[in-house]
Order: sequence, then structure tokens, then C-alpha cells
Amino acid sequence: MSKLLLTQSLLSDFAWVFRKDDGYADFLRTLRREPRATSKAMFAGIDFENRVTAYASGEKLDETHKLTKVAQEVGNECYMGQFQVRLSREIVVDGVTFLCYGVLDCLKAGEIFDIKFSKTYEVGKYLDSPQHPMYLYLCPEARAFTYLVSDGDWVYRERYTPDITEHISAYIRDFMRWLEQRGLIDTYAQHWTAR
Amino acid sequence: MAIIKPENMDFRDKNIIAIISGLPGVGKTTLALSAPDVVLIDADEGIVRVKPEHRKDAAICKTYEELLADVRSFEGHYKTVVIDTGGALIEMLKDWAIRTEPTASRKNGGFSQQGYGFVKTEFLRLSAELRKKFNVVFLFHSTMTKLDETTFYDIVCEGSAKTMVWQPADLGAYLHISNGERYLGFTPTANYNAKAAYGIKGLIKVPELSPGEPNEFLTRLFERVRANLQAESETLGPQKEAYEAAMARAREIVGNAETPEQFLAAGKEIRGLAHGLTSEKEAIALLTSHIAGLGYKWDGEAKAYVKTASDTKPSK
Repeated sequence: MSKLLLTQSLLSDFAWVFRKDDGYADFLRTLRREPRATSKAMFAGIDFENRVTAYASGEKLDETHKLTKVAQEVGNECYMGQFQVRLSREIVVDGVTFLCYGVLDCLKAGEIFDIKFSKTYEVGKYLDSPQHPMYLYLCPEARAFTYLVSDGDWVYRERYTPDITEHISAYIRDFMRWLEQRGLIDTYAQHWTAR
Repeated sequence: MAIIKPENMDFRDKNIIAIISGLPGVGKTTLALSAPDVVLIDADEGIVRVKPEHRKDAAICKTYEELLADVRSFEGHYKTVVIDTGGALIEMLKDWAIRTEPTASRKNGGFSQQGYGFVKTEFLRLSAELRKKFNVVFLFHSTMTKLDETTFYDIVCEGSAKTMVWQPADLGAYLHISNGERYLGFTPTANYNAKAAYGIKGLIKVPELSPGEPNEFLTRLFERVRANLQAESETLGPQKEAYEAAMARAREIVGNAETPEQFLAAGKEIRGLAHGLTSEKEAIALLTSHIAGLGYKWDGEAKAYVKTASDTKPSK
């Protein structure tokens, strides 16, 4: 029987349906796997992550660049870790088999790190995110998941351990229930069946 | 630098930084005074509200310079410094920044972005300095706000410093009353921020003190933190050793793999190592990245590693 592919970004876009005006339209685009333009914020995030990865891999950063200090701070935390670790793991929720898939920014000695760039960071920003439940499920040997967040001037850490993290199955159950109510199960199956 | 093996690590003297927040009058100061050998930096006149039998030594500071001088005099006399409140400390730091850093004030009078930069830097420096010698308990008043349909109890702290104050803390809890009983909430929820660590999580009941009963809730909690840390270190030590050994061997294996046959053999050998923590996943990721770097990829149909398209093109 075929499995349904599931990523944290699909679940995150689902969570935004209830939080922003155009959340539903954005979610439908993701559900139909329509390509989306890279936003300015996404570019900033990619640029920051590239700086961190470059520094942690031994490259010298431009000391005069405004992001160098914070990129180095995050890079030091990730030093000797493995970047872009692709993981997948099956899960059965209410009789349906899903293939969870994710790319960890960094995995190091039992800790998962996710590198974020956010100009509007506040403590607890990622509390409801499905990312740490998903990645802790993908990597059950991990002892913790830490968001390393920079606003360009400072680095903040938000750490979640498995014992204070809701299991990913709860997120999947809510997601499937909502898709069913909206008649979107077939759309999901059409675009997200794992090969 | 002396290297300490995990089995020889000793956390009995580890100092702890904790944040306790709560609505005014919920009993934050009395609870904070239950920490071991405690002195209160009272910037909020909180000691007045503590029952006389539970009062401890207190210093009243009006400026940040006074606070620093008091802290220096505490060394060797106390084990815990309570700052009541963290919000008042940030105000003191702002005043200090305005007096000592010309760019902390905006030309039209307000506090500048650079000013908050000084405040945050100094807060982190002070926290690190205090931790070397004392446990630290930062008390914060909470204020109730409505976010959509949810009631949120946020700490009272000025500006962008509100985010920074959580960074040095090991633990953070919201003190509140539910069904007539007091609880410390250590796990963050949609209603309040908190910080769980070292096995201290969820709701922990804070018993009411009967007359004559010693006030030592935080003393016991800190002992529990240290015991949990010790136990965790003992469990983790062998896993960390296995991790280091597996990663060292995996790097050798990966470094020697240069042909498709060797890639397959390397993957098999890596999987056969005695692994610890996340070493297996990391080692496989290392091998995958190495293989890609050499211009190969896995062909699922051929069930073999093949040269990637760009590498198979004849060079001009």
C-alpha cells in the first residue's frame, strides 16, 4: 500500500491557515505542490544559514559584514556537526501510513540544531511549531532540538527535549481530520504519495 | 586546560540561574527566599510583603553601581542572590546606560536602540559573573494580555530586553494559583513562557508554609537539579565515549572510500560500528556528502553508485 509523504513545512503551512489571512491560499499551493516565489525573509534565512555553514566548515567570513559576528556564534555551536542531514521514517496514524521526511540543518552529538533568521523573534515563538516534534520523531536518538535564532544582532536559543514535546502523531491527526472536513484528502494523496 | 572525563564530572557545586514570574502578590519573593543561603536585592520593596519569619538579608539598591558593589560584598557570605525584580534591574541598567554611554539616549530624549544593546550586553555579563559565585533567581512580575482567544501572562520587562533575559536562565517557571493551590509551571504553554531542564518540567506544586515550617522549597529543587545532572552525566558519559569513538572511526572510513565499491563497503562498515547518540546518522550523512563531493550519486534502479551527469560529460 502506498504511503503519504509528510514534511514539517506542510504541517507548518497548515498551522498558518488559522493564523494569517492568506494562510489558506498558501496552504493550498503547498498541498498542490505549486512552486512558490522565494520571499525576502526566505532569502535572508538562506543567506544567514549559508554564512553559518561556511564558517562551521572552516571558511573565513568577511569580518566587516554585519552578520559575521552572529553567524560565527551559531557556527561555533554547530562546529563538527553534520549539516543538511536527510532523514525519513514511517509512522502509522489511525491506520494510515505516512513517510515523514525532513532535512536537519545540523546534527551534532545527540542534538538537532535548526538555524533561523528572524527580525521579530520573541521567546516561545516556536512552541507550536511542528518542526521539533517532527525532527525529534525522525531522529529518536536525539536528546534535544534547539532553534538557534538570530535577529541580526543577537543569537537566541529555544530548546525542546522529547519529554516536553508533543508527539508528531497529534499534529498528523489534526491535519488529517481537517483535510477530511474540507474534502482535501484526495488532493493530498494525489500530490504527496511517496514513491 | 585540564580535561575532565564524564565519569569524573561533579555537579554538586553547579550554580543555577532561574526565572520565576507571576502576578503581583502570588508569593514570588517568599518562594525565592527558600533558596540556599540567600540574599535579596530588593529593587521592588518586595521584602515588606514577606512574613517576618521568612525574611532574609536584603540589600536595597538605587543604582546599578550600588548593585555591583553589593554583589561584590556578598562573595563568601551567600550562595544565592535573588534579584527582585528583573524588570527593575533592566530599568537600573537603562539609567546606567544613559549616564555612561552617550549613544544610549536619542537626540529627542528617548532610549535608543544602541542603549538596549548596552543593556543586553551588560545583563548577560552580569548573569555570567553572578553564576560563577552564586545561584541566581530573577523575579519578574507578570502582566495579563489577550492574544486572539488565549490569555497570556508575559513578564514585565522593558523593550527588547524581554527576550534576552531568558537566555542565561537554566530554568524558568510561572508561579500561579489553580484551584486554590500554588504551582510553578516549568514547561512553556500557550499561556506563559517557561524553561524546563534537567528533568524539572511541567507543574510542580508549591505547598503553603505552615507557621514554623522552614522555607526551603528552592533549596530542595536546586538539590534535585544537581542530582538529575549527576545522573544524566553518568548515563550520558558512556554514550558520549561511544559517539566520539564511532565518529573518529567513521571519518577514517569515509576518508578512504573513493570508488563505488568502497562506498558500499564504507556504508556497511559504518552501520556495523558500536554507535552512541546520533553517530550512525551523522556518519552516514558524512559518507553521503563525501560521495556527492566525489561526483557520484545512488541509482535506485541500477542499485549502484554512478557518476552524476555533469561529471560524465566529456570535457572540452
